[in-house]
Amino acid sequence: MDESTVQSKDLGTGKLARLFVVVSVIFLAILASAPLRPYFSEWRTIQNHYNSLARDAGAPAIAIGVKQIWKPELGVTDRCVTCHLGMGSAQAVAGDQLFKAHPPIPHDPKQFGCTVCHGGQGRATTKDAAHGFVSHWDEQMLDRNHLSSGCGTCHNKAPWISRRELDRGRLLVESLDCLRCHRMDQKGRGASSDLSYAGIKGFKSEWHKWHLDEQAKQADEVWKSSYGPINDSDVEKISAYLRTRMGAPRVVEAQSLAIERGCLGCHKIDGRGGEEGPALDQAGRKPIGDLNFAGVPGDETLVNYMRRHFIDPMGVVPGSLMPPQATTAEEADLLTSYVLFLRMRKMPSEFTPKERIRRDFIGEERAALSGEQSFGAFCAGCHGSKGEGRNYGNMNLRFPAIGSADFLDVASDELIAATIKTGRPGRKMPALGSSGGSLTEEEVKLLVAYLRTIQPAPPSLAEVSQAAVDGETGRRTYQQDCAACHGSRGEGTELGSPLAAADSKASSREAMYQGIVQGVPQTAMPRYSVYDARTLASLMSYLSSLPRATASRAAWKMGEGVADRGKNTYARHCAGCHGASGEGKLGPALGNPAFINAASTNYLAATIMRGRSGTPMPSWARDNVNYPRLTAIEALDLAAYIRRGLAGK
Amino acid sequence: MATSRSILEAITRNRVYRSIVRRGLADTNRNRSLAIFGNFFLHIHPVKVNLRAIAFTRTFYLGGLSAAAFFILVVTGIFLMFYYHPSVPRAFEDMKDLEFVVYMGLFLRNLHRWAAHAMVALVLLHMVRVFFAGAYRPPREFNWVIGVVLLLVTILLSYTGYLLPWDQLAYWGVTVGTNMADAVPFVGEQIKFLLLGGNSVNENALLRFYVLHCVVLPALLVLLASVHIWRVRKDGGIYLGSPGGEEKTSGSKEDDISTESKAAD
Repeated sequence: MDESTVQSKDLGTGKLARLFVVVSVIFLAILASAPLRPYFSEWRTIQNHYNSLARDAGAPAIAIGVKQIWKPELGVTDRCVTCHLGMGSAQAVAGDQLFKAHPPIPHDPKQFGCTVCHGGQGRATTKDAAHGFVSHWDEQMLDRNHLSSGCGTCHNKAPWISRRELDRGRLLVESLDCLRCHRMDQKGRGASSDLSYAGIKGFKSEWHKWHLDEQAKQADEVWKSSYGPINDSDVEKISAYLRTRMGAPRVVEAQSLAIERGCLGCHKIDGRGGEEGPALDQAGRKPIGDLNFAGVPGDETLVNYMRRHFIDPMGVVPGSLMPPQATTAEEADLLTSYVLFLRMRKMPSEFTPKERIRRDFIGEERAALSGEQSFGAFCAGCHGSKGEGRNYGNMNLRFPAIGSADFLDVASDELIAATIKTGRPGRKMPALGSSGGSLTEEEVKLLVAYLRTIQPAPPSLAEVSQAAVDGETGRRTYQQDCAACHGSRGEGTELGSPLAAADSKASSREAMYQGIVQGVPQTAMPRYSVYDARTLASLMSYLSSLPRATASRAAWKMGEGVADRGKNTYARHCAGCHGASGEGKLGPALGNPAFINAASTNYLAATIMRGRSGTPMPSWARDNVNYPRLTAIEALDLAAYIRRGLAGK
Repeated sequence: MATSRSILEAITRNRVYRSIVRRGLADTNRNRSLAIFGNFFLHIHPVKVNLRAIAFTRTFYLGGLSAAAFFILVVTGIFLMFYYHPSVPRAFEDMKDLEFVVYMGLFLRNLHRWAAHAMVALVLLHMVRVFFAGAYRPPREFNWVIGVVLLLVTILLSYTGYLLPWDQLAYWGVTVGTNMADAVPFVGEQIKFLLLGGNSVNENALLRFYVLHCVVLPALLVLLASVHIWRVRKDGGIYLGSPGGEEKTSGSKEDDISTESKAAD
């Protein structure tokens, strides 16, 4: 035998061999943990806990195993019910929050699975993974405050109602004690119908009359004492409120706040709105991996990101021009609820809600927005909630005060409608007409009509007749507001007719009143809605007292401005705010083709002379320490220069 | 004690047993040789082996460990195949099911992944060891070539397996890789088309990579590895010489061959 032959008795006894055995045993023990670990998983522990609680409560025990709601037609495999046992087929038992039944909703929770409404990762069976708070899963579960935003997966057309209307309706319902007999949104008591879904299920339009009839028939004390007459406008308000009851009060409230913030002025939702910012149709479903959390303190969740974005948009999105939208925590949460609602998914047709089928497949028109709603939704964000104009520090421009009486007096309906429809290309004002898919013709008309209501109504002729006359007021008003165009003695200028002429309108009291309060269409004379009765009476008295002029009204013609003469005036007085070639700086872009198209000479001359109080645009007809007066012909020259396009073409 | 011994004897003398186990624990060297030589699985080893050849520091057992890693990969891979559909929405969903629902699914997948990484590392180290040992020099040059091809097959196995989960990482990894193949002059476009089974990374690419990963490349690997190991045996086992010097086999090579041929049944 050579030495290299190994004897069997040499194996199995050395130090190495012993070490090998020990290491092997340890290794096998560690390896055994792999098949054993699934028996101690999170969900198994929870299910065992459920069974012990069920035993105590007398409910049937469940078979231990992964449970799921499986809807292949929706792509849904939701294993949430493995732990949330009361929400699946198992019976809800008390003793642990986890085993509660699903709160009442209009749908059977098993109809669509869980993730369609709640988000998260349905296929997972551990808590963090199932709730979606793991890396590489894009859709996080909506948290408790924003639960009803999940409705937006399928229903993206919640009824539009302003916050004011919503609050009014809610106040009426509560103060009229409807909740004495009805339940609504988890409030109220009584055996009468639950109104939480009145907007879906519908209700009698003659409900008030029905209630009165019932009251007359019933002998019940409660009936007798808790119902009473309601005036028609309140009935309508309550009906409007009931139409918004869809089991998702938070979303309705969130939307009502959003639609008075003017989001659609810069963003498109559902094809409607401006294009400064991105379209928001899927904003509530943004993949979490795409978000940059550098500017967002706290947890890296979509909810946090959106919330912070409303408070400090420019800190969250570098390069953003969006001004902050939320000033209180409540507003931030509500706006977050709304934006999370924008998460619509395409569904197989049997799962598409009826109102979407009516809109998208049958082509039913949506209900026209009221002027107030359109204004809130499209205009308020930039122009202010009362049209007072805004000046966001990060943008080198002021948004015009479209609610200013000086503007509305001077602007015709056509100018306003044209501006709404075509916008100002190249500037921030979007084209909101039907060609852009935003507002229909009818809605534009309603919006213009709403703008008119922002102005206070001028006093009636009767009121004026009864007001006290003050000579000094009359004289001063005339010299400040009228003299530049009509002449300091009413003799007329190139811009304004001779008021002191024998055949001028000013000779008749009614005509004078009409001329001032309604303006004179097709001329540069705008409305003057800003005078109170006293001032108006004084002014009219002063006008009457002007000595007769030799000029004749009939012979008067408005002068023609010469554009070249206006060039210097423009460069000296206007270019500082409006830009050397009218590109717009602090003031609107006078060189914008859409503006020139819409603005007539009359409009321009009237605006120049009148100014716009409350904004940096001064009245060039008045003496001012900082700016010189412009004469009538200078104003006309300037108007001609602007109309020519400023660039000299 | 007596009963257990008699039970043992009853079993081992049984005809069925003897048809399966031809030789029990052997007591003579000849019987030991025959036990190894006559067994399908064990005769991959030589009947006699030089002690220096099986020293840890000679090979660090790297070749054997690579084969072991491959074995783990095949076993875990087959188990994974039971749950995996190589079609586009199902692939990712099946990965989720494996992670959350299948008993030991996560362990299977993770083991498969770790073994894959280990195998690549081990074959690379094996290559380094062979190089520094000088075990590629004549007559072993062709075995080295086979080894390099095996390395390539291993890496291709890793690459084709990467796409199968059909997640973002997989998808973009394949996109980048096939675009790199596209950049090869003259034949690049055809190579990319061949790899993807089309012009874009879609269901066809997934299926193709699946077949490559589960059938073609493993078969190729087994074939080449068999030749590789057979060549090692035929060249006299592990190289025992010094890295730069002559081979010193101490004559046992001749003995092994004669012993094998004498013991042939």
